Amino acid sequence: MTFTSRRNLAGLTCAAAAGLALLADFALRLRLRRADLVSGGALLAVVFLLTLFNARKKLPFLPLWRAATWMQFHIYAGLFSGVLFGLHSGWRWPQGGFTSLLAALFLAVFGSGVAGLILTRWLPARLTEHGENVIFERIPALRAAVRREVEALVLESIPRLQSSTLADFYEQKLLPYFTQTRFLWFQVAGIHRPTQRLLADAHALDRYLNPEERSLLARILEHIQARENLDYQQARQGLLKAWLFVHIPLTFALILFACVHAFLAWRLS
Amino acid sequence: MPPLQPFKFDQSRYERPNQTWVCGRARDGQCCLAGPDARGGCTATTECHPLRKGDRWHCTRPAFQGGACEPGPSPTGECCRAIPKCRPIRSLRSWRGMAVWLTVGAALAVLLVALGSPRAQRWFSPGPLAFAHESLRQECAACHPGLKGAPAAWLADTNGAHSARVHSELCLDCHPLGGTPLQPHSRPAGELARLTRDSLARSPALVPPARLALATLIAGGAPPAGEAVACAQCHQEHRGRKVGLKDFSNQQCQGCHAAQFTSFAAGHPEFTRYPFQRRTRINFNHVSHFGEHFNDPAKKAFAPTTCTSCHRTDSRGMAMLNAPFEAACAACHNDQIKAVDDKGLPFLTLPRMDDSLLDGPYAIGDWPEDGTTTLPPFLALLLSGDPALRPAVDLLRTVKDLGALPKNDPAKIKAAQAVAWGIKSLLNDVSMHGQEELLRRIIQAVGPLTNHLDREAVVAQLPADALIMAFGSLTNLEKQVKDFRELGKAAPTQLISAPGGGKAMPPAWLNHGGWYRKAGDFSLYYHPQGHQDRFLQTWLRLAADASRTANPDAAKALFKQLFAPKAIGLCAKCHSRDDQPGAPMGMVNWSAGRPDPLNHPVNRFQHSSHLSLMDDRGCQTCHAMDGKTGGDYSAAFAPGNSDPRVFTSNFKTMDKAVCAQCHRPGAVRDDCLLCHNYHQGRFQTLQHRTELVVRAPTP
Repeated sequence: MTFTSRRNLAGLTCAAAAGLALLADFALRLRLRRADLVSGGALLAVVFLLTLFNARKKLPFLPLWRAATWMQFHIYAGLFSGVLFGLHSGWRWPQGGFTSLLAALFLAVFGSGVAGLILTRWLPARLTEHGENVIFERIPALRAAVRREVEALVLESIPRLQSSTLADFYEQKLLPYFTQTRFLWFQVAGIHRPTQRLLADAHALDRYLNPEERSLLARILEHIQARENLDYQQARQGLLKAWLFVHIPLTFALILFACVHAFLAWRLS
Repeated sequence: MPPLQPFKFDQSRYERPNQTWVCGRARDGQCCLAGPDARGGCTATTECHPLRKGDRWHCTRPAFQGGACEPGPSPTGECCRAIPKCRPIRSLRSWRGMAVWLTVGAALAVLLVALGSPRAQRWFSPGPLAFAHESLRQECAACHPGLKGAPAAWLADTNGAHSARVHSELCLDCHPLGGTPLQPHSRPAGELARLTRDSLARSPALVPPARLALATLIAGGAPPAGEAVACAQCHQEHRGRKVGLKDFSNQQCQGCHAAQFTSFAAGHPEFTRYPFQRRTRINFNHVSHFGEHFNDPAKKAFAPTTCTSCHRTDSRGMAMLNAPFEAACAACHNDQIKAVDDKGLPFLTLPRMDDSLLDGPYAIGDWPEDGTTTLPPFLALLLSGDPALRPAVDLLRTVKDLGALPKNDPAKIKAAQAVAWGIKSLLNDVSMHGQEELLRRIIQAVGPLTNHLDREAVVAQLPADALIMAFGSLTNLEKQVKDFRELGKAAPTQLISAPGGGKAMPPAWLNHGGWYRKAGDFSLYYHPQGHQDRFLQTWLRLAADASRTANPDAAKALFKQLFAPKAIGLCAKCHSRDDQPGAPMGMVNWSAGRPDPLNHPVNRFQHSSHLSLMDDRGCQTCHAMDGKTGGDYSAAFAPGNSDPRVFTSNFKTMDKAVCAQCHRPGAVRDDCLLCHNYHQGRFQTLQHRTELVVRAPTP
């Protein structure tokens, strides 16, 4: 079975489950049965099933399908849980304090999950297109290496070229650029202005350099590009990891609150 | 520029992002091979562990860290390049784990603070109560008895405190709904089953609409017969103060019904016998009045000109009430009731007795030579108040002529003597002690009269003179009764003539009713004062409730006499009699139908909302008179018919299509609850028991 057919099948299954849930909720409400208890119970069960994906990753030795299969299930069951939540809440914002907090938690978890799904589908292609792919954990080390290389180039040129033009440029413009990490946020926002400004400054310097210095500046510009790519990779790969800082912790809070809510509903209904 | 990140076994180190701790120098690209331990301690020593080959030590530093160093290991096999110690940092994965614990801890803290807060119940409430329940002030325990006290107590289920049954019973504390409040429509299961059968017999079940059929398929049909329906099943709370507790769709109502349909206009059963479910309480034949009586030139002037001449809406605009007798009927019928001829109701009447047998040992003293042939009902009932006389009265009630007793039946002769002396004792005692004695005798006969109005009505201010005038010819009455009672001595039988001669009382004396006597007999008559005569009304009610009287058969006989079609007062001409449990003769309907504020019938209709919508046909838009029903209508009021459900209306059954002209989807409301009450029956309104304290006078 191809990837497309698998995805179509999973999508159809999810849509069918959502349709059945809508139908069952409609029928139960029409019969004045406790549709909210049914949809709430189903929602709690689905949330537990979704959480099992995390448990599955911690137990890789168990022969319970591949993590990729679990991931697919997690995505479609997560989308289905949104439908169940809508049915359970009657497509209205709850009016109680506790239930409002619970709804906010669910929507935060659901929303972060959807955001993560979009990011994991959209960013990898951009990362590949942008430049050299690097391992996220290595980026700080690579960034330091790039800085050291530029520094070495400049220091080596001073006695050989008997000129301080590049050294001054390094000290005034390059050093702050290579040592600071605040440009990461510009990358997150998709703004390349700091790098472009630095490159413009380098081009403006070009008229004052002799051919040997120009050759050296060209090599330095390559390092600036490498650094810019590292920032881009770190910012975007960071996004791929950051959404989990919302999704996973809030999931556990959601489960805790949902259990209390379910207990109260069961006790008082 | 060459690639920054080579991927070869000898050019690249292995990353372990899942580990909790990361080397503190990794940021500078100078991470050692050993890495931190599990507790975050630095384990770095030297850059390699030299390997001995033969008698030489060789540097084993990997290529991606620069390969074998120039100085190489010491002669004793120690690496010469010591790694400075670092402070390991947490990995991103570890920070995520900490975020999880912090979030769970914060959530737990929020829960504990909320549970310990005095506003815990409000915070955990799923939403505000509806406007109608705002007076509960969001006190959870008012409806959820299990939520009393501290949160820990919520968990304990004492006596099913959390059950739907208990919750519903609390609802019923404020909303009394009759004897079977939690049954569908507050009706017993058996009655519901019968109604369902009747309904299906009238209009067989249709093919249900698709959505209802689908709902039945998924969620099942009606609950089993007899299963209680909790209040919260329909009335869902905590959805905000603006959300109505009675907002149901037609499909929700139909969920339990055997006959399901799309809407009122499409599928709702046609009306059968609507709006009249019973005969009218007052026998007013619209057909005969408008087709016959009002054509009489003498009465034409009294004929009503519009429906509102006789019918007006009640204060709520729901029911149409009838105008009172004085406004609607008196012009033609008042004189009939007063009966200004010399008819009267014989109250105390002496029967004639067989003087040939009632003498000697059976002597009865002075006795009228003429009288009624049988024991009159009033007298029979009054004598039955004395237990000693009751068998004699019963025996004589079957005798057709007391003036000709069977000679060979000493029991009846003896009974006649006892009854004669009983009558004389009654007359003597009443004439000596007045109305009090008569009232005492009546109470003996019909049972206690707790209502002072009844006590006044049954004696109707009987004057002593009327009694003396009627029975004054029995001059030796007191002495004969005294001798009979004290000495057991019966005076010899002697027939005497009636007093007063043959001149009848002029009709003018009877115009306003009261007590009177006729010339030529030993009788005391009562003449009704007009409509709503309290004497007749009270005696009819007491006689109808025969089972509580001393002699039910005598009471029934009296009722039949008073409620005969041509009886004095003509009560039965217009007032119908309905069966009533516990009352052998039923109940006389003294007034036309009035809405009972406590009654919640199946159907309801707001007349006032429709009065401005009618065309030239007016009320007859809906209430079309059926000119062929005059005879059948009157037949329903025949003396033998006391079942109000057996009747023929003067009006045609209403046509559903008339209503559906406006009440259809997209136009005027057509939901079930517009015309039907779910909770049906007669429910008492909530009463508050406020204790009143009588205080001692202050000194």
